[in-house]
Amino acid sequence: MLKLTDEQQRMYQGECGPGVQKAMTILVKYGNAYDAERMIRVDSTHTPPAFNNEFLTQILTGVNEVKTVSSLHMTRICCTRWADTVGVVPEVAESACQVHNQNLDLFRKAGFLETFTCVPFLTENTLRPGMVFSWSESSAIVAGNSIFAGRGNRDSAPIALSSAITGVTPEMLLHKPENRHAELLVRMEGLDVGKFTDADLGAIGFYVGSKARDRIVAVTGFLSQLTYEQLKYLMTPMAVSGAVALCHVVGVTMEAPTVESALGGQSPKETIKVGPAELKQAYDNLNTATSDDVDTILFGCPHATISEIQKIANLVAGKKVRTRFWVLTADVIYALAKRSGYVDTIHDAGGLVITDTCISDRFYGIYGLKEDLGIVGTSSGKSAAYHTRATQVHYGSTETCVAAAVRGKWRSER
Amino acid sequence: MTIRGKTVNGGVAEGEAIVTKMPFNFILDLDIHTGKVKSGHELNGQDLSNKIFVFPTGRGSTWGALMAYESLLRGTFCKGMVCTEAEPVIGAVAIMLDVPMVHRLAMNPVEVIHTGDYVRVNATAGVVEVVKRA
Repeated sequence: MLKLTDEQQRMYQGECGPGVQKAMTILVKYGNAYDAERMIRVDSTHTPPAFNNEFLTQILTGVNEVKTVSSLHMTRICCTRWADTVGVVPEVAESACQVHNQNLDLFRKAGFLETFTCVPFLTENTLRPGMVFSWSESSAIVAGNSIFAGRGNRDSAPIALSSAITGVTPEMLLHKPENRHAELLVRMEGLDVGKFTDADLGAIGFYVGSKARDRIVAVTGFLSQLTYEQLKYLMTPMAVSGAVALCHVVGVTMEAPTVESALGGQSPKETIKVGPAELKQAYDNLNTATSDDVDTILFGCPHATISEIQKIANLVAGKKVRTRFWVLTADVIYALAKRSGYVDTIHDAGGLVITDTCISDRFYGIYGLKEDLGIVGTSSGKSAAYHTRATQVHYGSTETCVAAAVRGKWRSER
Repeated sequence: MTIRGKTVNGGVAEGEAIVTKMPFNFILDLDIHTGKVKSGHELNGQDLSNKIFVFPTGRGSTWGALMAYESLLRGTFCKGMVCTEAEPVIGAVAIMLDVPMVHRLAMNPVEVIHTGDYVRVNATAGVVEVVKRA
């Protein structure tokens, strides 16, 4: 049973106002459901702004400031400054923006940072190893735990919000070092790991996630360091086909210098291999288009880093695209890309760099667009997986995607 | 048959069970307007509204609670939930919506409960009872 300190007990009893009480009640239930024994300080939170307004009003009643660094997740494209450029249905935009603005008023008063991104750690909401985070974004959670060695669970929106309001979160699951060892060991066999494209990494992640479900993963077989971007492509789809919150890449990520350390000295509960057949299976799941037609090329799921934008700008420089060509990123990264000339290069080629929103989630992110995106091409395993639920998808490397945009036709390079 | 488990969110609910062995996501897999499961999940087309939903765990997006909340407001959400191990995203759905939910049962619920069984979930007591077999 969860034990509260005197101060936490006062929050729970309502002495700090009804909003704090509601948040603490949510956290107490959550902690008890997962055998937490105490609350711990939370160093960073990240919350979607898309709450039901009545719920948000209640939980923020009397809350004058958040108790820790707290940022906001992306919003609907029709509520961003790109709405006119991309074309949205006015009535849909109007009602969506009304809710968005009402919520934003509440968030602003409480001190949430308006980052509107899925990569809080690339803005000012950063992590150091061992820091406790409560983020509602599956790709950020697996990155926060695995790449940055922070400690956080798959906390959904109400949990991240409640943690921001109270400054604490129940100590459970991945907060504890003894719960951070891998149960599923992944061995790569018969693959040339040095030649992996971003799409190859995403396909491997998509396959691994479907086998891992919610277990912790250790991947072996990488022979040299990987960049943040490479790790992002590998891990993000694991939290789409599965519910992976921590992926040790042996010899690469901080908590996994060796296989033994990744496994905590235990035998793995299960070992799977990933070879050419598994890679092909994942590509087949994500490549659903039946012709070489392509209408929209999408990058930036999760939001593109400055290095990715630089790479895309260099690939497309001096050319003209024949498809819709969208690169999504965080506004702070956009500012740097604009200053560095990459935004203009992409614009000159007929593309668009968009901020504050999501290209993958048809139900939420791209809701309200006047024109359907049609057949989508992307190098993001997450984006591909989401779009296969609604349209035909081409999945391939960033280079393949840029070439397809310029050609106006998809040509697989696998 | 009565199975003991762990409370995620208290309350009592009873009704017809709908059971899947495939992990579920409340944003990707649920049509909040109808309460029906979307294609891409093995329950494709089946109605969750007013049922007791029995499933192993969650998958994918952490946004499920917000969409599930919209489903609850529209009256299309399930009455109660039983999971093998509710990964935290799923637990938060039950807590935010204040829907009765139990997980970590003495027996795996997706093996021993079948679609159409009449089930009573006393989540406050952490007990799931199969009242009548389909």
